[in-house]
Amino acid sequence: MAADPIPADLTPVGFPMRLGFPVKVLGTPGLRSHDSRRWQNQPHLSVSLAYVRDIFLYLQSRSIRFYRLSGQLAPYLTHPDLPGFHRQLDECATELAAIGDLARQQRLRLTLHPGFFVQLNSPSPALLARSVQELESAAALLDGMGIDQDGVIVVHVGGVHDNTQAGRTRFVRGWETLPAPTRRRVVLEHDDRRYSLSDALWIHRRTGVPVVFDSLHHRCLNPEDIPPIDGLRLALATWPTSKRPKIHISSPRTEIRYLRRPDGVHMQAPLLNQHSDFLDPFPIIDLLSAALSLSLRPFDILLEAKAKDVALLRLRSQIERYAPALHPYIG
Amino acid sequence: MKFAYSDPHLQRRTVLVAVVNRPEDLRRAASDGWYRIPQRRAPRRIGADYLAFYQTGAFQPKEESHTITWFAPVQRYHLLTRAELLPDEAEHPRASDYYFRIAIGPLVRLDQPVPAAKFRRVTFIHTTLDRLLHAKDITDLKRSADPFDALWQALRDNRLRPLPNRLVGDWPADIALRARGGYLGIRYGEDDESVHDASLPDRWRLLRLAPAEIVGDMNSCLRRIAAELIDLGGALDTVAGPAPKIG
Repeated sequence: MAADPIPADLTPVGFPMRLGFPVKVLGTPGLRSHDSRRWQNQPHLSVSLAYVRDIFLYLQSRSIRFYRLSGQLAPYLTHPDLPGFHRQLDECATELAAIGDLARQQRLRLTLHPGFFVQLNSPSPALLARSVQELESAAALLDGMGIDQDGVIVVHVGGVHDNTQAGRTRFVRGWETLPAPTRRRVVLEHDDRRYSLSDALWIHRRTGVPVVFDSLHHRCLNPEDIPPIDGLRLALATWPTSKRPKIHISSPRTEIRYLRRPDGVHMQAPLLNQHSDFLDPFPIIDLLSAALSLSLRPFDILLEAKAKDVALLRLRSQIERYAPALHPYIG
Repeated sequence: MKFAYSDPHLQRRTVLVAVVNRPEDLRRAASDGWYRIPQRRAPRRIGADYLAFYQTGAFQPKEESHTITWFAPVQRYHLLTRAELLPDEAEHPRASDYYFRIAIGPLVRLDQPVPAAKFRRVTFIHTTLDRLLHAKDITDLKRSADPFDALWQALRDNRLRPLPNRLVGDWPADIALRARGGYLGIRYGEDDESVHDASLPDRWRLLRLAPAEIVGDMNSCLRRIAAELIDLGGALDTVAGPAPKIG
């Protein structure tokens, strides 16, 4: 479907669409995303928050207003064998509030993506219980920062196990076990191999969970052949008006992969579902221009590229150069 | 040519060098295991694996003054009010100000203390453990040609006395310069947040300098600073020395 050009009289409503990136900062050396020491060295949330403060000051210097926090900010917080780490949120109440204040001062949107072991559709009651506990802790962390409802926690549907239909149904049952304050923060992202956008929308109709549109996942797994702009429109419609939607954008890796093995270095063709270092600006410009010309509601864009913030800054300048009409809508 | 072996682990470990003016603060760090940094004067980068202490001229015996002799691993960062941190000084005028309380492990003495022979006006330095362990002078700790350091040195070379980390109303300034009719704050960075003069305290002006400007045209930056200082009645704290290099 060809998009109309952006209407000349269309002006940004409210805040422009913020570009963000996940976790690791590459634009300046030495910035850490979290305290990654092993449990023997007593890592702690307070140290992670000191690192996060330094990252926030860097983000401000680059006018970046959207950032995905590390999923391991509070190390071993829910580890069943390490109870000494379980009280970190209480121990850091003041520091969490201060880092939340700093984020608000900078108008910085924060989101979280917990570890991949979080699976609300797991047939294992133990893994489901652990997943619920992990999501509750993530919600408590954002609550401790005083972050508003735009601070969402992104989860995937999970494994297939027996078949996708049963997996979707189990997700709905798992969702129902989440406490209400946690549910308010959790959003669902479709993936590139198991659960498509249509599966995520099926779950949304039964739970109300907002759906995060991922442009590359949609290209890789789209059995219903839904055009990307329609996929974006469907996903945006799942978000309540009180929450600003977010989407994920990335480009597929295209360069040769070098695999080092004992018998030598092997070259392999790239996998399409892997992220590239930098982003191909042209499909992104096309998608965002189409969204604006169709007057879709504003959303924020998390860029998943290996060059992280450096890729974001490059994309921003490329949009300014190649799509000057779009540039005022991008923050 | 002699090659020094650098452990990659040490290259990744980061160190924050803090300036200690009071011997009792270092004693407390050694005996109670914590050090404090006022939040409003905290450096842009506070998170580090180790905290090292630059001891100023206030320290006796003199062999430890103007050196980094001690460092310690960081364990925790906490934010506390001064009154919580120092309950015996609850009446202090800054009792309600927030401080980072950095909990540290045992102090370790450097085999080779790092002197500040060439550059004594030390502020916070963020470096690596590798550099700290092998430095011959404090200037060896700098990670690279940092535009901020270049600006600081240029101000000093021009007989000015820059002051680090001041608050201008709600705006943090990385450098402050005193003038006869007020103060000039310099904000280092590339943020585009507009600061309206109306939101600044009386007698303050704020100038923003991006790293790229400093690298690209230091003289132009110095001219802008000079123009602001002239508008404020001329610089105070001008130290004796050779003629200014601005021009």
